[in-house]
Order: sequence, then C-alpha cells, then structure tokens
Amino acid sequence: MLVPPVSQDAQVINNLYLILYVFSAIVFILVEGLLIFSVVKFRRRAANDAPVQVHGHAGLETVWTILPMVLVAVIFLFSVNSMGQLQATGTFNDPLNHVHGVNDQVAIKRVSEAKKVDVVINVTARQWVWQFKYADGFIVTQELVVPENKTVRLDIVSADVIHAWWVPALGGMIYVNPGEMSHVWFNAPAGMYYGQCNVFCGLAHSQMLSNVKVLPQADYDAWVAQQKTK
Amino acid sequence: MASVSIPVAKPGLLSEIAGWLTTVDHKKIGVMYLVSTFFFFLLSGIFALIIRLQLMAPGMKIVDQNVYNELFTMHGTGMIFLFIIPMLVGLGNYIIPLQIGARDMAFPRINALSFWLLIFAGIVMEGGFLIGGTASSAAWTAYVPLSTKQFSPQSGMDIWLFGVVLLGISSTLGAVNFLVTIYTMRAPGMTMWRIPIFTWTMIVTAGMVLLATPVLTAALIMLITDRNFSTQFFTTSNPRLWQHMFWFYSHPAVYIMVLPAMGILSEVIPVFSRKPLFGFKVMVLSSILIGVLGFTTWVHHMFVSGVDPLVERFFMFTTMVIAVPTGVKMFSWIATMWKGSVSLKTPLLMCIGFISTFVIGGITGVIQGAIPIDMQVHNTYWVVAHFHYVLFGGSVFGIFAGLYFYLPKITGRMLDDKLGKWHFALMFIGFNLTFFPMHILGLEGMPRRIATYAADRGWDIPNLIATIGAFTIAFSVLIFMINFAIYILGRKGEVAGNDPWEGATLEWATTSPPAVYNFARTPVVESDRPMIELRAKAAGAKSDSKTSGGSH
Ligand code: HEM
Ligand SMILES: [Cu+2]
Ligand SMILES: [Cu+2]
Repeated sequence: MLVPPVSQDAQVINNLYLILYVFSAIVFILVEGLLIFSVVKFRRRAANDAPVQVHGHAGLETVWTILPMVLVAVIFLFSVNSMGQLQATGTFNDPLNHVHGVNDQVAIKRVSEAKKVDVVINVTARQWVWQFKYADGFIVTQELVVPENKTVRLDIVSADVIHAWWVPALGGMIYVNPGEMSHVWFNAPAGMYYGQCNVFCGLAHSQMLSNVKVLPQADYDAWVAQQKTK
Repeated sequence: MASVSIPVAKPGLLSEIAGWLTTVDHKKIGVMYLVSTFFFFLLSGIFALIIRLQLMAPGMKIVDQNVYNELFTMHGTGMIFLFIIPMLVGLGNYIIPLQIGARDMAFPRINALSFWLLIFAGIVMEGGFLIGGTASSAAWTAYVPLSTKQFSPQSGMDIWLFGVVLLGISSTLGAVNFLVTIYTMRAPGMTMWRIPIFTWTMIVTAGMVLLATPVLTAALIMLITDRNFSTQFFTTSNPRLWQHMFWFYSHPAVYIMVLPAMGILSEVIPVFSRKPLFGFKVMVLSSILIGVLGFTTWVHHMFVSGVDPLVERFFMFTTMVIAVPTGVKMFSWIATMWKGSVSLKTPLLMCIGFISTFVIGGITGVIQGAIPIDMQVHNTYWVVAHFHYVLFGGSVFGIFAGLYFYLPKITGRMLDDKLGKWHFALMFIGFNLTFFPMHILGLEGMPRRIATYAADRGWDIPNLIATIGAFTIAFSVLIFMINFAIYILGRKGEVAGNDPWEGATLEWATTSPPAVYNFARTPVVESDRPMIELRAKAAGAKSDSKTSGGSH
C-alpha cells in the first residue's frame, strides 16, 4: 500500500496486498505476453493465408480451467489466513463482526470485554462532520486527537445517513449505519494521519474530514487540559 | 377490393421521418437504438469531462459541489442504463435476427415499445436537470437513507427512480423478445450448437435480465412509495435491505454489460484470424456459468457495511471463483489467434484493447474480492479504476469492435481503417492514462465521489494525468465521429458488399444493408459456420465448369 501502514491491522492488510500483487503480476505478464506474441507472430502475411482449422483441444481447455481454479483457491486461502491474523492481533473478535444495534447491550458488553483499551471515544457522524466526544465531556470536530502507543477504541454512531470511518494508515474501514454502532480499534505512534468519510453522504461529503493526530502522552495531557478549560 | 390508386410520390423528408418513428422493423429499431444510445454516451461523456476538469487540480471550482454530485450520478447512470446496456441491445436487435436467419424479432411491436420506453426514460432522467431544479445527486447506487425524502427532497430524485423503473420494463420486454425470437425463429438446421456465439451470449444475458431486473424494480417502487406515500419499507428497517436488493440486480448487471461484448469478441476474433472459435462449446458453457455465478456474488459490495462474517467468507469465495470462466474465455480468444492469420484491422484492434485491459480489471476484481484488501480499497478511486477497466476497457472496446465490424453491414459502406486505427490508438492510450493512475489514487487514500480535495494530500499528479487522458479519449471519439460522418454519412467509404470481412455467420449472406425482409429465401444451415459452406458452394459453382475437382 502506498499509504505507509502504521497500525498492526494496516500492516496485515499490506502484507496480503503484496502477496496478491505478485500473483497478479504473473497472471498479467502471462496473458499480455501470450496476447502480444500471438498477434505479432501470427499476423496476416499474405492475402491468401489459409491457417489450419483447429476447433479446440480438450487437454488445453482442461488445463486452463484447472490452473485458474488452483490459483483462486490459493488466493482464497491467503485471504482467509489474513483474516485470521486480523483476529489474532486481538483487535477484535472478528474483523467484520463489530457492527451492532445501538442498544444491543450484549454486543456492547462483548466488545468492551474483547480487548483491554486505554481510551474510548464516542464518535458521531453527521452530515457533514465527525464529532468526537471524550470521556471528560468535551467535543471536538474534524480532527481526532489521541495519545501515542495507546489502544484506542472508537464507538461510532450516525445521526443521519450512512457514513464510513476510514483512516488509511490505521487500517480497515467500517460503515457507520444509522441505528447501529460500529467499532474501530487502533494503536499508533505519534504522527498525523489523514482520513475522511468514505461513503457518499450528500452535499458536502468531500469536506467530512476525520484526520487523526497522535500526540506523545505529555502533549496529549496538555491538549486535554486546554480543551477542558475552553 | 376497389382499386384505389395510391399516389406514389417520392417519399419526402416528413414521411421518411414518420416511417422511422412508426417502424417495427428490427433493423430500423436497431439503428435508432445505436444512434440514441451513442448520444447518451456523448452526454454522459461530457459529464465525465467536467468531472475530470474539476478534479484536475486540488481545490478547483469549475462547478459547485451540488452540481458535481449531480454530474457523477448522471454520468454513472447514463453510461450504464442509457448507453452500455441499450447499446448492446441495439446491436443485438439489428444482428440477431440476421444471424439466426429470421425475418424480424418475434414481437416487432413490443420491440418498438422497448425502444420508445428507453427514450422516454432517458428524457425523464436527464430531465431532472431542467425541472425541479436538480437531477438526482444520490450516486447511481442511491443508498438509503440518503435517497429518502428527508435527505434528498428534490423531485429530480423521484423522476430518476421513475426513469429507472421504465428502463427495467424496457429491458424486460426486450429480454423476452430476444428469448422467444431465438427459441422459435431460427433458420432450419440451426441446432443448439450451431447458434452463433453472439446470439448465445444474448440468450444468457436475456436470462439474467429476466431474473435480476424484477428485484431492482421492486426496490425502486418501494423507495418511490416510501418517498411519496409514507410507506416504511426502508426507513425503519435494516439499513442493508436496499443494498441487498440493489446489488442483487447491479452485480449481475455487470455481466449484462459485458457478456454481449464478449460475444462480439467471439465473433470478431475468429473472422480476423481465419480460424474457428477455439473451444466453441466451452465458450458457451463459460458464458452460462458466468451468468449463473453472477448471481452469487452481490454481497462483495457490502463487505464493510456490517454483514455476518461467515456469509462474507462465502461471497468472497464466489467472487473469486467467477474469475475461472472469465479466464477460460481469455485463453480461448488467444488460442483462436494462435497459428491463425491475424488481420490487424480496426475491429480486431478493438478486441485486443478489450483483452489487454480487461485482464487488469479481472485481476483487480479478484484482489478486492479478498475481504482484508476490500477493507482498504472499498469506495476509493481504486474501485473507480477497477470498474472502468471492466466497463470501459471491456464493454466499450467491445462495443466499438462491434461497430467497426457491423457498421458496413448496417450502412453498406466501409469506415476508413486508417482513421479507425487512430481512434483505437488514442482511445487505448487515453484510457490507460485516465484510469491507471486512479489505482494509485485509491491506494493513496482518495475516496470516490468527492467534489474536491486539499492540496496537502499529494493527489495532484495522478489526477492531472487522468484528466489529460480523459480528453485524449474524447478526442479519439471525435475521430470516430468524423470517420462516420465522412465515410458513411458522406458516402465516401468503399461499398461494403455482402461480406466484407469473410464472415462466418448468416448476417453476411444477405445484402448490406439487408432488404426489409432480410433474406430473399430463408437460408438452410448445415454447420456452425454456414458462410464457409456458402462461400465454398459459390466458389465451387464458379470453378465447376472449369475443373472437376470435388469438394473435400
Ligand atoms: C470518457 C470516459 C470516462 C471517464 C473520463 C470517466 C470518469 C469517471 C470518474 C472520474 C468517475 C468518478 C466520479 C467520482 O467518484 O466522483 C466516474 C464514475 C463512474 N463512471 Fe465513468 N468515466 C468514463 C466512462 C465511463 C463508462 C464508459 C462507464 C460505463 C458504464 C462509466 C461508468 C461510471 C460509473 C458507474 C461511475 C460511478 C458513478 C457513481 O459513483 O455513482 N464511466 N467516471
Ligand atoms: Cu460521506
Ligand atoms: Cu459486484
């Protein structure tokens, strides 16, 4: 991935991408090579060329049915394996099973027990702004500020239409559906990570930024203190 | 009857026009399909150019974001519903009765109705720009609740939904007509395995239309009543219901758009290689398999919208499996050219354009079918790149292959091959310039459907290249139009004759353009390449008087 991965999840995805990239390159070179070769080598040279009329070849046809099947199976297994790794990082029970009804107490309990977290932030997506509500009660928008190397969990809800949380450097995206709660976990070194809403949500969708600023603990504490006095 | 003598005046322009407007002849209807869908291609293309101007550099303000949202919505809708799908239907309309040796479609009037419904729907949908202030701006996917009255109050949204309903009716009628025509009206001797491959792909396509369209139509009507009569189909229920119904149609729709184009390739490549299609039966079976598997993958559009993980693994598998029959087709086309006599005329070049770009679209399709990857590329410009590689690199190159191949039959004149090659070369370069950089933009985190972006994101250069590419494409299409204007409309092109390309199927047995009744005598089919025998017979008749050499 061109956005350098900083979280463990983004790293897992990045690794899978590189593996599939190699497979793709092989298929690409094979097909384009055969195509160019046959067009150049067998182009018409004389107006009355009369090539042998071959109708097919059962053996060849079997080969190029089986080969893609094997390839696809391998790719599938690699993908499932990566999903397992996403699970094993303990980030969440299952990479995709963290959307549930807003009032689903069982799910909320399971999510909070799934992994020890240092910071929980309540996020509300609404046309066209991300609001971050901190445990201390203050709210900021557009830019989320969190401490460095701490496990952060976002509990995200939507106030209107569907939005999506996505900060590329921090890993996978998740839809935020009205009436449901979505969760994202990450743990990142200090830095500034860009993100914005990733489901078209109407007029100002392109302005719905969700940048994440990760600060060293001391700076973070100072920032929180400053927010509280505002 | 009393012999009333009808004055036979030279048909004036008015009666000529009236003749077109009231026609039920499949060829005239086919021509009207081609002309009007090409117009929608140009219109949607102009929208795309404005989109590309706006995104050429960060912070541009060519149009405001409200208009931008209308433009990409109407670009996508227009390209899919008003260009690619009906353009292929139009080609089928013209060619299929000829290919199977029939005199018309089974239901000529229904055929006309399908066409006029399309025109009406097109006017209604684009009309949103004129009445009610704004066209639909909820993207071609019209996700609920964004598309409900609360969040999209404009009447442009209602008429958009209404227009798509009409299109559904149009294509359902068309599908029934194709199936009945092909089932009942084939020339004597045209058994199952002698049905030409393009006709085969239309059979599969029509079957898919019949299965998929009702689900979309139901969803659209539910949304219309939600918006206007306070029914509560979508407002209070699962936010994913619309997505399931929409994609249950719209994923198969991808194959509805690409299978007939594949059929065109399977006609053109053998003719221009002077060889039969490699593995005819396997080609037919792989089309059917694509048609069936096409219905099993729709949830891959919902991997991050919160679907049960086990269900998602299933759909990840089916999504990847569909690459197999597609791969079979690619290899069979190449094998058809292998050791052939490949003539690099424009129709074949367009086929090469199809194969070489569709490979990329296929590969990216499998890759983003992997759920972890999809969690990183879903809804980004990577996806925009992927589906243009399939729909433009695939369908549009296939459509142009079909146009260069069949326009001589339809009009009686040849297009200029030199200009055709320029068209191909510029479109191929422009296409890759436009869409390849979008992969990179997606990986760099650029979401789709954004009206503008900030300079600090580092997305400038790929966007600039994409815009240059888009105008290169536009220029290449202009060359096609000039070619058409001079050599066909201006009658400067060579006279095509019945069979300019050494075709293999029955449409090449009749005159160009064919007479109203298509064939003076219904042809009898003795193999899967009837023209080969007809040509041999004609040649035999000529040489019989000189030599006594028997046929082999
Ligand atoms: C002149 C060539 C074309 C150019 C330059 C072009 C460009 C674009 C761009 C830049 C977008 C993304 C807009 C956005 O997300 O903000 C887009 C979207 C789209 N394009 Fe094209 N396109 C072209 C041809 C086609 C063709 C032939 C099809 C055929 C089906 C097509 C179908 C679509 C669809 C379905 C969308 C998605 C619309 C949506 O997000 O609602 N495009 N196009
Ligand atoms: Cu949004
Ligand atoms: Cu799909």
